Amino acid sequence: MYEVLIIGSGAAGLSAAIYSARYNLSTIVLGKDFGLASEAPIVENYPGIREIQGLKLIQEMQEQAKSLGAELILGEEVTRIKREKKYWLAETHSEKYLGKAVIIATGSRKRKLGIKGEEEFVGRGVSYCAICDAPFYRGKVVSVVGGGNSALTSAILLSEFAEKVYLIHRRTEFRAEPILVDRLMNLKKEGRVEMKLGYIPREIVGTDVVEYLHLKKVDEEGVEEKLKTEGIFVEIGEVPNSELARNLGLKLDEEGYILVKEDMSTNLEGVFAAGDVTTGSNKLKQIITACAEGAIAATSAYRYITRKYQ
Amino acid sequence: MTDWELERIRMKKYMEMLRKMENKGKGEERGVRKLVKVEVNDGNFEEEVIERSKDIPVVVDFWAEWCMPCLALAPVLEKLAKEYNGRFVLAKLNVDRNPQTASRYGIMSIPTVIMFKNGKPVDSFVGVMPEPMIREWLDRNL
Repeated sequence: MYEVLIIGSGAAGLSAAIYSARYNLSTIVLGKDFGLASEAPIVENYPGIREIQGLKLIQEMQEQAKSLGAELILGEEVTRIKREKKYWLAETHSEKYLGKAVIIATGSRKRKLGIKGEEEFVGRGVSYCAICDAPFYRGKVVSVVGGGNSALTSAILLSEFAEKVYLIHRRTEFRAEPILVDRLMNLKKEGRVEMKLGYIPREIVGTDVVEYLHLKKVDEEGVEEKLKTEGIFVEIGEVPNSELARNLGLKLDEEGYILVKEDMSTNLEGVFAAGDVTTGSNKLKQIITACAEGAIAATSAYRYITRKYQ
Repeated sequence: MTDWELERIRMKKYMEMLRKMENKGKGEERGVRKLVKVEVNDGNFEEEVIERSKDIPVVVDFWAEWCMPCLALAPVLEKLAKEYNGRFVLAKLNVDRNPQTASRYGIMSIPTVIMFKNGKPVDSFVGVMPEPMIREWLDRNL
């Protein structure tokens, strides 16, 4: 029996664990991976740390949570959360964990393009993790799809390895921070990045590996283009991992995010949520907001446990 | 964090898992501990993977330290290797230090996991898969 079960081991879950452990609550973190932040090639907007690799930042958070006494079980996917009398039970494939309060911090996953050839060429040119796979594309021509921070960061990273990077974006302006756009424009001037704005991918074509990405113009019917490219990095946003929450009976918004109040509580007493999976922080999906929500959720869990069990 | 520290943490996790599994197995009959995991490289791949796979299936995990999904997948593969107790051997290949083998098998995304039987690759998957799907993949191919 634990006081706090934390489902998810990304920035939100680990921050919740740090706060929960410091409230002297027995805390366990169950995580199937390390969250999207760990795949960020470089993080430059987490205050106090001028620049750090996403994975290093997450590893530091893991060490901090462990040193404070939180238990971390990684590589264990929670398959179900359910009420067990007045407690909450989290089941993995092999174990069961009982807790007085639960914090759901299951984050989000990369959205897929949903076009022909995408599934087929995963691992043979299609990638969702630039930092993992960039070194395999040394001297090659690659494409990045998207216009947010992740897409631009990936394009900038890939330009260090690839001979040329195409950036494909359906709009003509970027959602990404202006500082990243400026860097991208510099790379464009140097001829290392070429923009394909107002285009969307239509099909991925190749024999053994990716050879071409077919594009079509968004606002001109029938205008198509074949891009010769060996790598396609998909960075078109995220979808919330809210299946566990839905099955538990948590209320979600129309996009599938867990509806939370300011104190990170949900519609079920004793169940809190934090990070990218929630409607909190105006859905600004950043490490800093995930951490903040984790801290608030742990504090609310502490108050709940204190009120209910003492 | 240095490679060494990372490896140390991984080994600690691994040892904890072994202990946990040993406790679970108490009271049951257990056979002789079989070889479940080897580290392989460009130099010994032929012998440790290709040749070995003629006797017993070898599952090669192509990974790198900079790849977080790889670090998430590793403990699951290791747990399954232990549990299957010799029905296959898990071989870890660091693609950063062993580019020849990675390139020979056309690795373009990691983690990539390839099963070798009778000296040849027979099936593979890319990315982190949930444990039941990996079990299914193993059972289908073993």
